[in-house]
Amino acid sequence: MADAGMSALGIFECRGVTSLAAALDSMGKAADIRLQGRHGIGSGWLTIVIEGTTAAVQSAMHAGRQAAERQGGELITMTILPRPEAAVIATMPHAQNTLTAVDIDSTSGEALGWLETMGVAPLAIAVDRMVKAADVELLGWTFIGGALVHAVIRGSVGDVETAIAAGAESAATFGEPVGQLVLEQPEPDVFHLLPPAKAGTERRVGALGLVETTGYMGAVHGADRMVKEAAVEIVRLTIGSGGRVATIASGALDDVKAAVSSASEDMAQVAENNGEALITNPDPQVVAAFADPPPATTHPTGEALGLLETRTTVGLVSAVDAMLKSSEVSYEGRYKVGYFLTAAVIRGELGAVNNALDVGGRAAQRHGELVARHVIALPYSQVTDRLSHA
Amino acid sequence: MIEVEGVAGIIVAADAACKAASVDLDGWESIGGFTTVFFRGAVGDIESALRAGTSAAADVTGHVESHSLLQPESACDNFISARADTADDSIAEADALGLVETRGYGVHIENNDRMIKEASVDLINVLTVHNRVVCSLVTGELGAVERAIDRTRDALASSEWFMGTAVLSQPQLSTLQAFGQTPKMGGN
Repeated sequence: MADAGMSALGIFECRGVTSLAAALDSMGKAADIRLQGRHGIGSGWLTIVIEGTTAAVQSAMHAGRQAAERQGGELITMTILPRPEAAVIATMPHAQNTLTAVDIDSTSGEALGWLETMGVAPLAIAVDRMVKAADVELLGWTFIGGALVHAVIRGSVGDVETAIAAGAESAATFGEPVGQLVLEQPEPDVFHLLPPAKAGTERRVGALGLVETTGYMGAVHGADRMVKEAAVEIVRLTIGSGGRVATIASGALDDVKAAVSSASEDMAQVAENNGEALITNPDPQVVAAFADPPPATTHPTGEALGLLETRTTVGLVSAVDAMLKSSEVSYEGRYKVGYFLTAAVIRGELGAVNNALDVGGRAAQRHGELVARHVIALPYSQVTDRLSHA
Repeated sequence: MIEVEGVAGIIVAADAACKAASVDLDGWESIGGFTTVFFRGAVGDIESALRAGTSAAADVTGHVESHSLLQPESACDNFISARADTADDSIAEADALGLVETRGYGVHIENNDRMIKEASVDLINVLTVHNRVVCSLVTGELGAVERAIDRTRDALASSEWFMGTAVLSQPQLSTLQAFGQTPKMGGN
């Protein structure tokens, strides 16, 4: 910013990524502005900060607001900051988040499409439908808090429009999607809002099955049910933010169907069941985005697994301390799934794990809120190997 | 351990606890908008520190939970994401620390700009701790920090997203360093 006197910042915060992307694209098309940074703070609240001359920022913010309103977006903050203290604002989180370099040539003349849903189950179904409905590339998917998740596709304008319409229709069986958006020749800055690229390997499987629940305990229980019900492979336990966790399995269609139905029924007994999805013959892009490679082998492990979930850290730490002091168990790890939920996993002989969970459950109740405790007597390695220790 | 809603409450609690007794600040942790501060010391000192910390936190925010563990298992260390021993030691002593906590991030850009223009204060960190809670930390001479926080209250206190402010005189260096770092919290 050579001429600080002429510079201004525009601060735009809203809930949901489709409103944000629509706003940023309109801003860049309306005026000569540049994206300074972006920051997400959970519950789906996202902020972008643009810079330019005061006049440019004013026109851009006007256009951005109109675009977000067309998306039905929930605006939180919209402020123009003339003559900002640039050096100080450059130290704030949005300006520290690295903006990735974008290869604009490879994208010119194309369109981007966003589909945003509440929960992973509707998104997974919609993504498979999108890539089958038209010639589009899945760029990736991610979550932004409050159980809001979204996927982004790329292709010709016509293909992206067809795919998004088809995806929205599929997702609607779970309730209206939170947002959908097609941008023709998107502004280069919009590419900074894309989710991380899908990391997995494209491969063919008979079917993908997904059961989504609130809390870690339900997801682990669901995975155990699935592998014991039918010959399926657990290919991911994915956190969906807002407390949501999805257990994803692959295998032959009949096996996956049986596993999903059993886990879904059974899970409703122990946790909140937020939805299930069965994808027949999923597109290899979908497998890459939602599944990790299958386990090489699977076998029952010798030790029982205990899970204890609370709504406070003090309760969980107190429980872990009490469990380790009272019983011959080992501490495996802990998980944070959002929505104030946090869980710890222990291993040991069945009797010791049961005893530990009793003692730990009482400690958690005394010092916070105990959400759940659960024991799996004979866990399979393909379930325990999927637990992402932190 | 002291757990509160938001993060300003545990900053106030940590400082009060470390001033009240001879305890070491271990670090802090956040889950979904609740944060927990951990400190360590002799049993008697921990009891005094917990009393002082919870009472100070109650002035700022909803107090959730506190507890002490005798000879804690080493696994309990896994729960501290932002460890005091990896804190940013480039952060220097300050006469006063001011805290501004709200839901929402955009408002902090505008308010930090205002505080810096209207009072001689330095922005040392902006913490995001899940569930939309954001807290800005400024340091400076006590009078300047008070002026910055007064102006903040004039501007923000009526907002539906406002959570609270605090001014700490002569904050402990360990408090400044532990909360001056940006912890790896995962998520987005």
